[in-house]
Amino acid sequence: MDRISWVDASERWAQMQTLSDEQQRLVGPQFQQISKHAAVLNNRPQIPMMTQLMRLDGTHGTDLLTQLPGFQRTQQRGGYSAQEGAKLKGALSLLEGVVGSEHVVEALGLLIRKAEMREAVMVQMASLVAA
Amino acid sequence: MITTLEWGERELEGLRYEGYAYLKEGRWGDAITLFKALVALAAESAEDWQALTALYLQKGEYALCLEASERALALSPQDEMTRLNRAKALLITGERAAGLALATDLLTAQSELILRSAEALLLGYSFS
Repeated sequence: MDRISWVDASERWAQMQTLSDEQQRLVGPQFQQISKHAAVLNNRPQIPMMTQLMRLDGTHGTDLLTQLPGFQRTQQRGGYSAQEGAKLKGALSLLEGVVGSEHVVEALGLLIRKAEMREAVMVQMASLVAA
Repeated sequence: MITTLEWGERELEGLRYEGYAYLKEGRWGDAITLFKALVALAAESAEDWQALTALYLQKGEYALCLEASERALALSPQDEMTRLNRAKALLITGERAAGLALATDLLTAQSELILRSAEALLLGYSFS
């Protein structure tokens, strides 16, 4: 990632606030990188950003759920890329007419929608950064 | 079905990752959708049945929680968290004797959290 000044990072962070929670989650990893770089390079406080990041990381786990094997090993992921989304669509077409595939079809549909939304947000972010 | 898709463990782990990501966001319904797909693709994965057990309990869908816990415990009988979740679902649905018996078994649990939760369940339901 290119070097980024605190001012630039703050500006991008402010631009991020124009996105919905759902959209922000999808670009979370990029957002996190921006704020980390800004903090390291500029040695400036980043409390509002970190608070925001913690919120986006999700703090909804209860005891029932935080003990699950995958809870700790799963980091925030920005969702499937457009390329991965296309692969999922391919998988979906293979399941057409396959008996008992309803749950898988539903899950793939969810992930494909997420990939498409992520792609749209990435385009939006790219234009914000370029502006 | 997994053969039709030509999928392997890598793809399943990708779905699992998304399931846990939804779970961390508190989107139980979406997480359940992912884990239901996982058990449809790989019914022998104890971890996915354990996740479903916890998620159904979280959502208050106790009959489904009990069904999922049966599958999870058939694959991994000693999993303490699933046994605790099953005990809770049994007690909530009025299966007092079975729930208390399971909670009593958990008094020898390795995990401090499970042990304390089992003690709390026993305290809470012994007098009701």
